[in-house]
Amino acid sequence: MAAPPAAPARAEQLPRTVSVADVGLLYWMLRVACAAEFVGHGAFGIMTKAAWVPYFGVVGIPPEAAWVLMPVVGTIDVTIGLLVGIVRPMRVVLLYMVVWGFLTATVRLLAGEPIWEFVERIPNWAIPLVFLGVRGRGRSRHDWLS
Amino acid sequence: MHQAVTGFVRLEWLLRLAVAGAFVGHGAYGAVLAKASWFGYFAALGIPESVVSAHGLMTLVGIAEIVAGVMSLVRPVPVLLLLMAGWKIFSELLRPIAGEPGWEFVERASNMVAPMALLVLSRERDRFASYVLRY
Repeated sequence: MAAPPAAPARAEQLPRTVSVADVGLLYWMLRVACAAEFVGHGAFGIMTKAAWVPYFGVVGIPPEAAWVLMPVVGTIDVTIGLLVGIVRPMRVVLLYMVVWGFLTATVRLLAGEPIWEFVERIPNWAIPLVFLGVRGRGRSRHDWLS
Repeated sequence: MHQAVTGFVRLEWLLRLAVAGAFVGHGAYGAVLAKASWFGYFAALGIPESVVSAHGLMTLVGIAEIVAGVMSLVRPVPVLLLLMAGWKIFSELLRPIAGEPGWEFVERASNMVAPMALLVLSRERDRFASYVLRY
């Protein structure tokens, strides 16, 4: 006797998170955006930029130290960007991007720049957060590192 | 509503906020603050400072960006999102053309991608929702 036809999938059996496989184009758009944002931002740190000095001042770092630290911060940004863009978009690194993107946007406000600088940079933390959402919440330490 | 569809909706709102922020924040520099560096971007298009000032072009562009940003938050229409994506890439390209470092363009990748990402996500949400409804 022939096997009965497979029952159609029920809504409860569908994936419970927005999975990468469902949104391939979106996945790559977000991945490229996150990588470019950090590589581009980091490049200014490596080149050193006078406008960054007051941002260091907000957290009590004097100008002389700021000039020294700028390339270090820039190198970290570029490394993080390349890691996400070329190697793999680990959830833990995306979370770092969200936090760092938010902090660097906020520090502009604290340094006395107009609020619009913060508003314009909402995508800097929102895009990595969306990417994290698209990838789905990690359920184990291994998930967060993959 | 299925949990995955709710997930799509949450991410969609986050993207709406991102698009609105990118456009309202940028537009405010033209409409509210009249940022001097904008003259360089108009000059890159062959529009001299005198014409920009005489016709209030900076305010006009700034207001248009703010309106588009608010609309993307309230009601993100696909054709508007496409136009916004094109405009964002074009306007950010003006930075290196005006003599700023190319990294200024690269750094703003998230601002440029946000409208397209919102468009793709909302389509995926519709597709997924119709798939869920079928069963």
